[in-house]
Amino acid sequence: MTFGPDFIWIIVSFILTILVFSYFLGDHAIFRFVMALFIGVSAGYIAVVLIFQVIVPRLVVPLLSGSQLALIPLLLSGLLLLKLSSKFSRFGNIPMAYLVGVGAAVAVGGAVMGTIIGQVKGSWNEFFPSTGGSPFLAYLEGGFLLIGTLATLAYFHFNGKKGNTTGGKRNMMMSIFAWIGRIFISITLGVVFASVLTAAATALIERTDFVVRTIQLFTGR
Amino acid sequence: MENRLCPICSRQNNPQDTHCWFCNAELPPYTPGEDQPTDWLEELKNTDLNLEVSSSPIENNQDQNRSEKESEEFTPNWLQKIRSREASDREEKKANEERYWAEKRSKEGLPDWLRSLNEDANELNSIPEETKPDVEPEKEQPIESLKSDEGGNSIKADDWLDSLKTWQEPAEEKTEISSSQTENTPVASSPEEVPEDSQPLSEPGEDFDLNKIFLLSEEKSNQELSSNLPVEEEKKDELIEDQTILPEGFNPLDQLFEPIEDAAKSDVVTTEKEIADIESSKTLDSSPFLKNLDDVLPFDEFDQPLEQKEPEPKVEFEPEPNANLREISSEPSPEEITPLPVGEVKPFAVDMEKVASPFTPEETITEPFKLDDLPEWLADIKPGEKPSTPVKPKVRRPVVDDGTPMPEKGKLPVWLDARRPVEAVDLPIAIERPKPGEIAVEGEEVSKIPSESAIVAPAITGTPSELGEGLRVSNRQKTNAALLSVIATSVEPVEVSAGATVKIGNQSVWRSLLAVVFLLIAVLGGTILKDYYLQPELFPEEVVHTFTLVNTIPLDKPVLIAGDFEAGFAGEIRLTFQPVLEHMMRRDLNFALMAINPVDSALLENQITNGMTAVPSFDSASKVVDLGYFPGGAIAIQNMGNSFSNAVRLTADLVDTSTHEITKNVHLLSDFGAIVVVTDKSENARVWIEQIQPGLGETPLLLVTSAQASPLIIPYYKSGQVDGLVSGMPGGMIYQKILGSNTGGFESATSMQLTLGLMASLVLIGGFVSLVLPKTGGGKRQ
Repeated sequence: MTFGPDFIWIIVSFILTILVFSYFLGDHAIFRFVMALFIGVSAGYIAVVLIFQVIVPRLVVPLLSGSQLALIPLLLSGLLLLKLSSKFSRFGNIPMAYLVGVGAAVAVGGAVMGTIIGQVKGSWNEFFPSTGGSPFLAYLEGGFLLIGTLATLAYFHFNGKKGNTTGGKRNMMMSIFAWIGRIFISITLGVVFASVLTAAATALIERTDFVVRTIQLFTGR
Repeated sequence: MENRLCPICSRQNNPQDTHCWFCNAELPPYTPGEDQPTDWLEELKNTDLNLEVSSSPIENNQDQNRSEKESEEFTPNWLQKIRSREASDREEKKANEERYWAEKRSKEGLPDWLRSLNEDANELNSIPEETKPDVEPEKEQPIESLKSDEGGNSIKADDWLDSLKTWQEPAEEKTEISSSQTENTPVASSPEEVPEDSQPLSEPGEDFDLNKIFLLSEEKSNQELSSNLPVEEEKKDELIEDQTILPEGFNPLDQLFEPIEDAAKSDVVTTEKEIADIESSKTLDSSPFLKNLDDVLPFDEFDQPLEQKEPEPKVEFEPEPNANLREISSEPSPEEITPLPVGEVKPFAVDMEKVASPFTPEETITEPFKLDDLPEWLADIKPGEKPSTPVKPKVRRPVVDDGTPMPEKGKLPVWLDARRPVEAVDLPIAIERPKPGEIAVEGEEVSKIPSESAIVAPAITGTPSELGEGLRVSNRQKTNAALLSVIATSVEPVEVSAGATVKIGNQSVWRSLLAVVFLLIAVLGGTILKDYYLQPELFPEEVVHTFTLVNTIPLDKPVLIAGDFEAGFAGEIRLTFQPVLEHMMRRDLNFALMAINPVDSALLENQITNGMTAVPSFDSASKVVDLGYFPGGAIAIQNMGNSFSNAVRLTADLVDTSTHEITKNVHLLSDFGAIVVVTDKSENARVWIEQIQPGLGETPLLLVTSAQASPLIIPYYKSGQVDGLVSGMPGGMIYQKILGSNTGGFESATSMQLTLGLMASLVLIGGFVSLVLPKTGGGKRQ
């Protein structure tokens, strides 16, 4: 391997990776230095990206080209900057209200149209066998999916009759569904936890592989 | 005990009283051995209010002296000396009495008792200062001195009967005066309303007319009002001639009001005698009747200074129309207002306008002070009356502990709580309780009391004054200090056990050991054990479907690759996405890179660079366009789903997307050959699904996600909302296996499988330990 920018960046990456691995010995100054370095580099990089890929092409260029529509984001951005001042921070509520309102509307609309209707439709389609598939398996899979969905919803249904001694109590059917739904939720959370462990293991393996490859590169093996 | 009957109201009074408690009339001199009530009643019956006393006090005294002379031969010398001394004293007192009663009889037009009071006050005030020490002792208690005269009993009895006889005529005259004034003036007060005493000499206002006020108002109130006026010394000399023995504290009414010129000179009490008179008059204000008047009369208004006016000639004691009172009322000039010396009684400065206002012609007041004027609470209470219903002490209900939670005691703010009186604070203090072995007080339970010092209710010893300002150590602070000292002595020193240190050391050792094991497995799996992996028998459906879709992407349409992941997941994303990217590069597709996270653009370009090692024929310069960072999150994605060309106008190189070779034909997202979203979070993937999937049409939506996002994305794939899904390093290895590539993470399959196996083992072992060991008592679970 020739000495060049790639070689330098491999050396730097190798050293930084070893320093991050040293965290298993405990939190120490070197590890904190590496963390600060990553945060600083990321912030600087993001700032440069925002200037040259957002402000300039989306605000400065339209203003220079005479677009009056760009004055609106300029005004809203100026009002948002007033949030830094305690005296005029209330003027920053205008763009904040706009962002929160539009964001909430977009999120609600997407959740309804994209998730609720889409998931209901998908659950209903599970009862229909695919081409060449067994209808029994389709019904079984669809039924299992439907029971899991209803049971999970039943678990989060906290209404109940008023008890004589110990507050509200679910009826028997709802209690059974809730118990089943708790099983489904436990399985789901276990899978998510396993997926997180998988992601962590992947990061460990990827870095370990990089260290091994770098060592092999230096040793020539 | 003998009681004294009042000659006016015929009620009984105590022997030591000088005035009737009920009607405030002057009581006749009292002698202890005299059967006064009987004689008085008998003589009163016989004479029918016109009885002439058969013997005067002087005659009785002469008879007594005669009998003493007769018995002088048989008495020793010492007894004669005593008797002679007593006789001389008796003569001196007798002379005073004679002069007193003679002047009293000579006065007409006023009640006897009232005239005597005025004369007494006149006498007191007319005494020169140089003779004051000699006169004052005799003046202070003239009646008491008569009482002490043992030999003068019969004389005094005749004396007071004589005064009673002389009193009858003025009383009738007084009734006539009152009846003549019923139209415009109030009727003179009844005997019950007559004040007991008068105040010391005070300075009257210049225009003040005593006779008018006297006729219009009650005698007592006028004397009360004029009690604080200082005395004019110039007037004293003129009144010396009229000196009489008056009761203590009485002033002649004629002297109360003098011209303002004289009053200005002596508006301040200057002599010691005046001070003594004022002080003595204060003690006489304890009558309940006077207290009632204090509540009724506007004494506060009386304190206002008088207005200077021309002096008016003295008016005889005759009633005049009330309208004149308005003429004489005026406000004092500021020059007349002189400051009061410290400790002096305020001069009688009456605002006559306000005083006379109740007696204006428009109003006809028959009673100077009505009961209606009294407050309600005071009108129902008579002097000396005790409340009919005794106040019952509050009975505190015993607190029964029935198990119900008691409300917590409210807490005041610290600054306010510090200012509470000590008595209001339940301070816990540490005291020594008796030990179980000690003898307990009767009725107390000692068995439950611990032997150590305990916190019990305190004995309050502080006072609110101790909670004043400044740096003071309050009882509360002392108590807290004592409490802390008790706690400090009772707390056992915490010893850092060697076991805890060993446990902490064990944790570090175990953590380091696990890290070393994981690193060792990863290294061995990537090197020595690289070929010892388990081949998956079944490929996941979503990965296979993704591979199929990539193969069906039209070549004339670009592929939008949107990076929405953090830099920390760049390693996993690289292993997952690299086979998919290589597959598309092999097909020589055009790429449009978009970064939802600012760093993703560089990471995606780096992956394309890495993919070019496997696909060297791929021309990245002409096949890849960087759209740069696309801000706005879900809103921007939704906007881009509606119109890509409007949402993304420029590339990262500031080239118009409508003119760029790759994107010039793209106006909507459906114009892309495929949408590949690379993300590490299920939330980000869901945003893309929700916002753009409904408008994609036939354009496939492919997701390349981290492993942690796959469980929540699979339902969207199952529902058909997502066309392809490659999640995590395992999904990338499978895609690589299908693709038949040697890049990507398949070389680390052994490491991945070993590491995941180790993690699963640790989770199972930890769960087993958590379930089993706490039941056996050997666990650490808390």
